[in-house]
Amino acid sequence: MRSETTGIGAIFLDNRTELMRFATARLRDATDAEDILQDIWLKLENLESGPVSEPLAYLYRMTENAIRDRQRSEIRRRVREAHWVEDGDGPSKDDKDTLSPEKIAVERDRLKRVEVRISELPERTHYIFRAVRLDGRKQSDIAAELGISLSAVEKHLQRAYKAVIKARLEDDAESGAE
Amino acid sequence: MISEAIAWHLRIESGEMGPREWDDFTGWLERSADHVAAYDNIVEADGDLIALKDVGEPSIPVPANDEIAHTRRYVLGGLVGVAAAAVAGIVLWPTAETASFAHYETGFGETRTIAVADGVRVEMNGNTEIEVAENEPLVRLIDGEAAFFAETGQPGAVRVRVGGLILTDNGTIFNVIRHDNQIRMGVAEGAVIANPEGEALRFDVGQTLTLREGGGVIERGRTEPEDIIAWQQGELAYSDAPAHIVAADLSRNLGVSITIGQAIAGRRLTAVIQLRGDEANIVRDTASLLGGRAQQSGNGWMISAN
Repeated sequence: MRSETTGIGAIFLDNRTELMRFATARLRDATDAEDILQDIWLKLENLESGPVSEPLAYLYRMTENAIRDRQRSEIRRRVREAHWVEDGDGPSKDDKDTLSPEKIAVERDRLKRVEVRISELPERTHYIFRAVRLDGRKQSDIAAELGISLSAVEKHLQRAYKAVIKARLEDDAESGAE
Repeated sequence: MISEAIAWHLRIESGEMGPREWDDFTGWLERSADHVAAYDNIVEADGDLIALKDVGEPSIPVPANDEIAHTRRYVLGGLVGVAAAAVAGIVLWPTAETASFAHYETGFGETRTIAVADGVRVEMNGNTEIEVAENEPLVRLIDGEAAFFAETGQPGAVRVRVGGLILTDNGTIFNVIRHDNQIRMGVAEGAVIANPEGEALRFDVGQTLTLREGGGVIERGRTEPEDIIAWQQGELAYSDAPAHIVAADLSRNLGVSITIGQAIAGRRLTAVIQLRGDEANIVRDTASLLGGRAQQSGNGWMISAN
């Protein structure tokens, strides 16, 4: 099988060690990292073409995405088990992504708070943050538009992210009883 | 340390990371468990931002693409007045569908109209697969693109199941795409309710829904209503759409793989692309609209920076 592998699959195999090192560092767990890479390999096998300009960078990004998806469903699983233990039949495979209405309401509240925090940012910070993170514009474009340096743009973005993280922390403290 | 984590996150999201940078990032993660925790924190915070994204405010035009003929332009504004975010985890309802379904499929470039019920029809774009229930107005979109026309004067005239998502109409024309693990829906007329028995999220005319399957978060967006079913006139219409969406639509409609280079990936497009004619010309035109150029690659096209 190995000898027939071409394209992105071959690049995956050639760089498996590096990707494994990344996934292990990211997850702090070699077994989980191995799982993630196995999943990616299965996806790649079914991929007919490699629509990528920088395949290795793409593979890293794919790994990062798979790790995020895994962490997200891990959080969901914990929430579900905490809420529905009394249901008896245990978690079924079908409701892997189910959130209770209460949980949805909590999520909405948190988002609203984050949003308020963002709207309280200084106007320029707000503008830059929105343009880069919500509208997907390049930092260099914004720097050119506003006539400031790239590092100044980054400073605004840093400030904005810190505000969002702070809003989340406050939020956790408030709903700590959950 | 949190600053370092934010800096890494910004680099990763900007698509500027090459293999060497990923390797440096690995080293940074390996250096401390606190680094990993800080980075996880940013990723979660960023999840909130993605959830807040596109809540119906007009977008800002992109100066970098000013040379491109904008057919429509938005005014600068709406920076502060972000509307309430309506985002929720998607609920997967148990499938109690026992009806038998008829299967329909179109090839590349082929379109087909199917009557689902009185006053309800589906128009299938090319390379699309749907299933229509025999005894009820229920359609499954397996893959591809289809526009739904429910002109009965009664809401709930048709139900569309796409993956784990259920869509029902409210006197409506709407378009649904399912491809490459992504679901997109746009309302051209009337309104659509997503997951009516669950979160019952309402999408009005000009609003769009995007859901990465397995991701579980519904993103709201906005587009021009007439762009949504422009494919029926043999064109693709965009108002400030990201390059990867344009590439995905084009490759689906042309039946050829179209890749976007990293330097172009962040660009956005406001334009109308004619789908009729020679594939090479269409791809080349699109490339120049995106400010790049098209090259034939192994099994398709690659659009990269000049």
